[in-house]
Amino acid sequence: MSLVVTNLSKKYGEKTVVDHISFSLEHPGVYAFLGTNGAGKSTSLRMMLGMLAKDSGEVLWKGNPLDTMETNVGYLAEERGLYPKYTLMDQLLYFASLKNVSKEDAKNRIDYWVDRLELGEYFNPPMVGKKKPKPMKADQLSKGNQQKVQLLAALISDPELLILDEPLSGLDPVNMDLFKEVIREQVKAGKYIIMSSHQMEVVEEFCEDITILHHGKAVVQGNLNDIKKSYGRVNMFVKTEEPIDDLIEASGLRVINKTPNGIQLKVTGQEQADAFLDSLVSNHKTIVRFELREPSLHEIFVEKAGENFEDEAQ
Amino acid sequence: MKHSRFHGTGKVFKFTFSQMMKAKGFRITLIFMLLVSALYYPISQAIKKNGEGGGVSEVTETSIDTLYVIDESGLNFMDWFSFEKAGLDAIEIPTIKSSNKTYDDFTKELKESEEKIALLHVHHTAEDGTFYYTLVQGPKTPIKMSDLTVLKNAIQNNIYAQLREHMNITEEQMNILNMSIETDTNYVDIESIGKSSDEEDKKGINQQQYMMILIVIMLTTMLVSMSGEYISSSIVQEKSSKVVEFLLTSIRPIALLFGKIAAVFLITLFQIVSMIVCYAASVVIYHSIADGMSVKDAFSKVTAFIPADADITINPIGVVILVCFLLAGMLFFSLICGVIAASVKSVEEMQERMKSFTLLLFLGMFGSMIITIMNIGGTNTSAFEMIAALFPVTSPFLVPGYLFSNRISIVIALIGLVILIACVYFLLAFAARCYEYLIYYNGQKLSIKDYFSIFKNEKGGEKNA
Repeated sequence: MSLVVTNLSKKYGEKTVVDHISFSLEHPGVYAFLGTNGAGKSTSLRMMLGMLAKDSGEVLWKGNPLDTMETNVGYLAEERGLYPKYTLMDQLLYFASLKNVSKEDAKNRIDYWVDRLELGEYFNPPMVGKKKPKPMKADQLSKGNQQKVQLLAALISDPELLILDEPLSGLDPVNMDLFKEVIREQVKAGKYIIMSSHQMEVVEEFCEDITILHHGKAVVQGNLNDIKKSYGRVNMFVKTEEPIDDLIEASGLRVINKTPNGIQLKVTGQEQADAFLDSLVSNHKTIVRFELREPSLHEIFVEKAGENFEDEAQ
Repeated sequence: MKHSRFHGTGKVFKFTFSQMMKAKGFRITLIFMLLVSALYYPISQAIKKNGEGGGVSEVTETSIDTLYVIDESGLNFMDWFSFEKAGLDAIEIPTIKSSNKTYDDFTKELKESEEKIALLHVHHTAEDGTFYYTLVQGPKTPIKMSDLTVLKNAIQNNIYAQLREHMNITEEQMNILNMSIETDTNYVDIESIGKSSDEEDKKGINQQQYMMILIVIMLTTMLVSMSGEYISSSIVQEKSSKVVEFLLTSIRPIALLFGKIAAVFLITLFQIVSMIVCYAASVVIYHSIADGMSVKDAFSKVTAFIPADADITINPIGVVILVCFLLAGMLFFSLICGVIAASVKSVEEMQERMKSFTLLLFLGMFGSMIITIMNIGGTNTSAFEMIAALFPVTSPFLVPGYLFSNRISIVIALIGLVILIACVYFLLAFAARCYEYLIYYNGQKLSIKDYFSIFKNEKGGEKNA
């Protein structure tokens, strides 16, 4: 196993913000850390990186305690930051030097990532007449572009372990796709990635293993497919041309959501679903759509992390 | 190989130094300061000459027609009628005559005279063993007092030149002859050095010593305040812009702080040295052009503000102690700044939280100045001097200047330095612990007690919530 986190805990006074979290990354891929705001995601990541002292627990990387000074770790912090008044190139070269990357390698990698992240016009601004343009500073960039530069900074040392705290928040759809592509490339290149996110559909796209944190505790943990399977096929979606409220009531099903496009119902399992389908057919209802599926990650998250998330997501 | 806590300090130093040098504000300030240093001497000389009536060349226009000499000194070998020996050919006085009249008779005549005549009265008093050379002019004469001032200086140089020639000695030997000789008793232990200082204090500080002490206090204040301000704003900026979180994956907080302090120290030292070099160059260039002096002679004018009898000793040991105090003092105050600034979450908050640093700076600077001013009046301040020399907040400001002015001994200066270094070492350990915790701190203002509780708990205490 490459990364093993055992019993990670943190208390601020009487308040426990991280409560005995354990997980491991056995092979390259993306591990997701999910939770509402204040659930303890960033604190856990900071403790793993050694920035915050842990009250208890252990973080091992390839059998040894993880030390970011000794291990090549890339980090994209939740609270993004660049020096606003320094040129982009200067600060990236500085970040690279702190990661012990030679100036030549750093320049090559910056060139590659500038091209890959479509930042060329900011690093090599076009000539204005015959005048050579001044190098751009961070505060001249939009928030999304600053986020790209920060991803570049996290990747500049070609890290083995990449920790991305909310990497996709605040991005437009085009840049979100770009970030997703980069993450996929990193997975293909055999990198270990830990990612925290609020965006469940994105997590479902990438992650095999997850931890859902709630008030500092891991409420759901493990392989995403196994978690979903453990819930069973209990989510049913039905759309008919005629009203079916009486049949739903007669079958004792719980309505989760009702929209003009259909009704989402909760069933206990395959047998109850089959029985309800039989009742629809026997009552000559015209079925437009009938779907029985496992719960989505979003549904699992809402169930486990509570209603707060719904408010935040809106 | 495992990296030390200070790994990366050099990289932070290099980056901070280069970014500071590139900053537009820094360059503008530096150019302004260098211009002031370069122009100060020539302008002050020009103003001085104007005040004296336009300098040597103008003496010819309003020159004294006749200078009478009444010599009652008995110095028969003196030639009052030739200024060539002192190299003062530019002063043109058509007639210099010896007068047989008495001083009283001559001054009666001068009172009524409207001619351009003046009197040089040379006499000697047995009471204090002094020769007096007095220039006298009448109330109705058109001669300006400034002309007499120029002539007075010329006569003095002429006298010294002739005395040297008569005694067949060099200028250096002449200076040695002019030095006052004092005898004293002393013991080579700390207690007796205190007693010795007591005795010296009663004499008070002379003007040159005061200037020297003031220059060192100002130099230290500049270095400490400039570096403290930069360190604190740099830390707060990194914290408020959230860059620090990214940096801390590659470097320990204490290495980050140290790299900054080293860069700020070097850059401040660079500013001060540049200003001194600029000043010295302007003095050399001024005298080379205006007076036709050789570079070597012109260079001697750079330190001309320290007269030979000023009781000031600038030797290599003193300079080394000065540099050590500057370095340790700057570290002491910068570490305080670093820890305070780390507890601030935004630039707006900084001013309020930095009050304690400003208070310490004022205590060091004004404390040293008050003791010095009290000394000018001849007040016995040896007890205060001793406390200030050993107290780390005041010692960087006071000790080097007092050492140059022979107000305290090297032993006391070294004890003060050891205490300061010990405090810096403690502060370093304190800062290393607090800084790592505070860099994530976004809470209320911390009390001294809070800082000590952080020191005990290391990073991640209760206040971080």
